[in-house]
Amino acid sequence: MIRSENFLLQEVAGSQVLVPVGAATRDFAGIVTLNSAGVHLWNALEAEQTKEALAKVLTDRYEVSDAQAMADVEKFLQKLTDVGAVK
Amino acid sequence: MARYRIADLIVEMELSGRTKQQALPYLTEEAGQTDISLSYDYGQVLRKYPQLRDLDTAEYMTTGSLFAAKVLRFHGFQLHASAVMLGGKAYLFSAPSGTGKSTHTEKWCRLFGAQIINDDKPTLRRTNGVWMVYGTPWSGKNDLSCPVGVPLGGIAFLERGSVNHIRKISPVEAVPAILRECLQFSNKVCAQKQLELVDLLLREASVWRLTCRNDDEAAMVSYEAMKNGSK
Repeated sequence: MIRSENFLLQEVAGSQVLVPVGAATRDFAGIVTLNSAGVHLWNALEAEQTKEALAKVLTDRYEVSDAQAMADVEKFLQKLTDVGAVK
Repeated sequence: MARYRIADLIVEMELSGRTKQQALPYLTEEAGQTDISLSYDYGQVLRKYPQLRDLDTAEYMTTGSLFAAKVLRFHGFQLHASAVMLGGKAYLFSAPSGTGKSTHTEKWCRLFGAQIINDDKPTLRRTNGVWMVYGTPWSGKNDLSCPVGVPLGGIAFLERGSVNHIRKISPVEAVPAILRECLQFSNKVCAQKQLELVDLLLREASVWRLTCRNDDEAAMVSYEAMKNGSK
């Protein structure tokens, strides 16, 4: 998977928000707030990634089990795919 | 093309219908530089978006959208809120449609003598470090607006509840609520600029979360807190 170029990540008052622009505004009228783990995953998704590679992004940085990291990645990807930010 | 003073900017527009009527209080004879020029074929907009139904609506929506995009360059943006002025300050009540913003501000008017600045999408503009709240011709279906600019006193995000309660909230707590009531820009540069302005506003303004019942006490609770609260 890879991230959409029609989503913009910007800091607003201490929050990292993901905002649709361009064609993405047709399908999603809201915003997504990312925590720091989410920001690392979003940055990694600038290039094509597998779920395993993304889980490793988390286990490299955080004290989490492989299983927890994979669960977190799947939850993250589900949310972002739903809004059109990842394909 | 007629010239208007809107949000302390000189705006040139060619209008014909309902928007022209709503813009009458903003007409100006001032000479000098035009800050924003809006010229569009509203007929073409209507042909492209027939759901707008008539030329009047096409003109209103198009001029409103164009102004919203162009005012960003002047550090201004629109917030979906009902704005009132009282004691020389502007107070905004923001929430999704149907929550009760106008109902709340109507109480401020009736109980405290406040006046509506704009009941739909006031323009907030930061000049020389001060946030000002402006009425504009784009004031929603009831056309409640005033051609004034008033310094911002506070913004409350409103939700319905069983008790009347207000508390100050931190900038980060306000982020989802405020972004929900901001315009969505397809243009990336506009979207970025608006987010920058929202960031500044949340850091600089008094921001509250107001839970209220639909009674007069709700207005007294919000007024007591907000009239004194500055950052």
